[in-house]
Amino acid sequence: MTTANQHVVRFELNGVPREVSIRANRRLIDVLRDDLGLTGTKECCSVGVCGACSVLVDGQVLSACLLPAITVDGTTITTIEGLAPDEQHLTSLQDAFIRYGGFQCGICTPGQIIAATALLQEIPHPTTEQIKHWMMGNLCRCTGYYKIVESIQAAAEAGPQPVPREPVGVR
Amino acid sequence: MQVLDPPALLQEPEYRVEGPLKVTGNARYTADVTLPGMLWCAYARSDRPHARILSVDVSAARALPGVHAVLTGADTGDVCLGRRLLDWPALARDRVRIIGDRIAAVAAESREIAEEAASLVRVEYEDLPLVTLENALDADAPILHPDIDSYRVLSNGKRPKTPHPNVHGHSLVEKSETGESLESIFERADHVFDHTFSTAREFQGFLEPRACVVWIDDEGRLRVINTNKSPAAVRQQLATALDLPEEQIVIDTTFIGGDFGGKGLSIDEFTCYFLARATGRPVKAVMAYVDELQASNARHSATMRLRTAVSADGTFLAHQSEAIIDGGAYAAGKVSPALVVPAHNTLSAYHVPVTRLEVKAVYTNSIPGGSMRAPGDPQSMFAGECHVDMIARELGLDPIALRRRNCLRDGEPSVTGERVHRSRAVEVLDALERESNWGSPLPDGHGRGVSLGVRHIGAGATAVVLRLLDSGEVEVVTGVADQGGGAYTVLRRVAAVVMSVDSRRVVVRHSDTSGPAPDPGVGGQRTTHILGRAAQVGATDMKARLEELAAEAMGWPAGEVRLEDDRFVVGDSSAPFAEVAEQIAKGPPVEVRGGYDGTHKPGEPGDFEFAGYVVQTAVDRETGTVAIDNVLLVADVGTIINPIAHQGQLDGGLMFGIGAALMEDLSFQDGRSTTPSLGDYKMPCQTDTPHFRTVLIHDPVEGPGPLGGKAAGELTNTSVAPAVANAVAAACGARITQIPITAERILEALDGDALKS
Repeated sequence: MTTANQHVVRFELNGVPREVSIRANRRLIDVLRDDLGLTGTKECCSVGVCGACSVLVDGQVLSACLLPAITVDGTTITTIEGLAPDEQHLTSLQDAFIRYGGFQCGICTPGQIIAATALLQEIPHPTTEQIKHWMMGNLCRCTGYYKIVESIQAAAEAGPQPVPREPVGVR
Repeated sequence: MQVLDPPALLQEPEYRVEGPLKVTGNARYTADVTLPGMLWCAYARSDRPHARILSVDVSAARALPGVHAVLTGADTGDVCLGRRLLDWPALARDRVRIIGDRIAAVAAESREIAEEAASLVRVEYEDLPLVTLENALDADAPILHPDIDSYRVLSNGKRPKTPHPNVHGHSLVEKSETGESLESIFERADHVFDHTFSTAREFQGFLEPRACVVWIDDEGRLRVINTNKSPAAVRQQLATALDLPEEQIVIDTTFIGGDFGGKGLSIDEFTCYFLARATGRPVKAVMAYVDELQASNARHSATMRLRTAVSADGTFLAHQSEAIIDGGAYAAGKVSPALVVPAHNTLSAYHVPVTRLEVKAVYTNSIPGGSMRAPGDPQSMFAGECHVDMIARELGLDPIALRRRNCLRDGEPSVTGERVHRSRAVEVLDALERESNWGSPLPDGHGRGVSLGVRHIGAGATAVVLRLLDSGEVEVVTGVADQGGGAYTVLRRVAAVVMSVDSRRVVVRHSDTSGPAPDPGVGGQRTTHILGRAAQVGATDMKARLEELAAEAMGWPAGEVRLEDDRFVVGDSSAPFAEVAEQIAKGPPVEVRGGYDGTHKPGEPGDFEFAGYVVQTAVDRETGTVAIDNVLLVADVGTIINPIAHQGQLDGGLMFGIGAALMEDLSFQDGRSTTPSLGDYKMPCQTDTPHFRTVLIHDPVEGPGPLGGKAAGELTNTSVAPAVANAVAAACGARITQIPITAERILEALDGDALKS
């Protein structure tokens, strides 16, 4: 099925099998945002430093702005859109980021929550130092980081069960 | 007026109204927008810092399949952009002044095609001599903007008179409360201190690059979705630059991925207008981060010489400050009529009877200077608060005691002559001394440093509209964009408290600039104050209307219904708000306008707030590295509306200041950025956060904001660096007069000669 310069890539994205036909130099961030319309993953620094484009590829936190999409063939990918179980609930991390001030402008938040999700899978009850070291690849200019740490600690305490979400209050 | 305990709702942590959108990836930022038929914009940019353009060949770019238009300066003419002085050509015509200047603009069917086409544009240059701070003010310096007097200035304003053609901004403030001249005081004073400081150019560090989507709609209106935090202002800029009536332009900005002052400058909107007109399609532009770091607008680097005359007992008698700020190639990013940022406003927390403060903004071939969180203050605070510490040490006085002796008291005029309505400087200093255990011994190699900061509480005018919806909810309509400060949640909580309803009864609606609630935009610590007060005014009216209409709807006696604790109450009986409100909503529309004008009037005392730090550091004398042991912040506050977001602003301000103090330097060499990516430009990350304690001192007198609130956004980032520098001096004796405070600078200060040999 692979034609000249075009490659068919298949992967599971947020629980749904997907297939895209792409050129070899297309980045995963472009496939997610432009080809598949999942704009929750953000492109900011474009050089793999800020962490805003973090996604989970087979459970590993990777920067989608650095990743050639052809390398994700056969993998399972989770983006920020794939974390909440349904429209009525949030993960305890998503809920904690709202209640404990883990975001302000929100542009780095998808990446922060993706990275923290992987952290809590690896270390369900991390120390403050473990949180700081795990999260140092996710820059945030708004919060000064203190409330991101608090949010992650609160979610670790609450455990993995989903939390009902409050209605959005802005239209 | 005494502030009572805040209402119960305000004591609960807030649930951000936009929270579920931002944590699920569903908040729409500009770069996420796709419209039918939309084209992508890309540019051919200058790779020279200063050159004449001899020719531009776009033929290969135009021939590329998928390209719909390629425009050059010949197509955009003399259209220039800017927040006050329009001096930055949308597309360069005859000359480029920075690496990254836009020369040709492409609109194509995908970003890849647009970028490929842009790379096919051929430009011939003739290099011109570089203008830097070293040569810009020479009598025979090359002039960067020989035609500056022909540039447009917004609001029919005028450019300040300047002493040299490469000086685009200038401000001189002088006062003498005693009638005595500065010079005679300097002659007779017991002591005169003369110190020079410098601060680096910094980048705002918002992670979302600027973006816009621009199109012409069926009614011929120019439509813009963008990342600008002042939609009404960018509408005025576009109208002026493009000669369009303002009512033909609609700006829609909702979520902005960080601002910190920088996003008040719109750049790509101007060329995208021409591309949209040429192609008949919507056009989208997203700046690459490399262009943000070398061709947008940055915090001005500054050099400041401070002279202060001091009496034998440590009283400040006279103060002179001369600041030079690097304005870069364009003044477009600046908003003040004098086209400066107030880096000359040194010793702003103190009373000094005789002053002379001067600042010059200079054109150079580097990134334009603009606004960044409390523009001018981090420069002037670094210089001023180090200067005060150096005076204390040279006079053998305690740094806190010297500050207490000279700090502003209620009603006293500041160094610029503006009277301070209410000063909390003494209370801040007392709390710093007490809470830091100031003066207690520290281990060798450790030291404490103090700083006192002050910032105005922003002012201005705005309006909101409140409507009763069919659902029984009350909608608050606002034109303000959300840059992360939590304005929409301020609106909900203020309206809910004032009406005495459950906060979930209040929803917020954002409207574009064609909507009923124009707003001046986020910035200058004004949003909570003016938007919150507008909501307070509107909610007070809405509550009275609903009480009246509840009587009619329920057949209750007129004039006796009260809305309390989410219920309408008459005598001994009551009914739930939601039920009655739904009933009322079946009748004619209920709508009120909440207008507020808190514009500061010249001559009236200004509203200011104070904060201070004690920072404890350890310095390694062999490597020059600084470790921060702990940080104490004391902040003066009024009624806090969003407690989580309020602390978040203080936290974010601290880390902003840590970045400035220890690492951030957007440096240019020979007109070329040496930090063109976030891999090179170091901003604080998780592991840079020190142990941090905040002590809030609640002002018993109401602040100007809603329900007695003050401001938090620009209070805590300005005075971090001097506290760090003062702590470094206390720890190891090295007085660093230049930020960032790097290991090299510490080693040089400790042992300059050894390092050179």
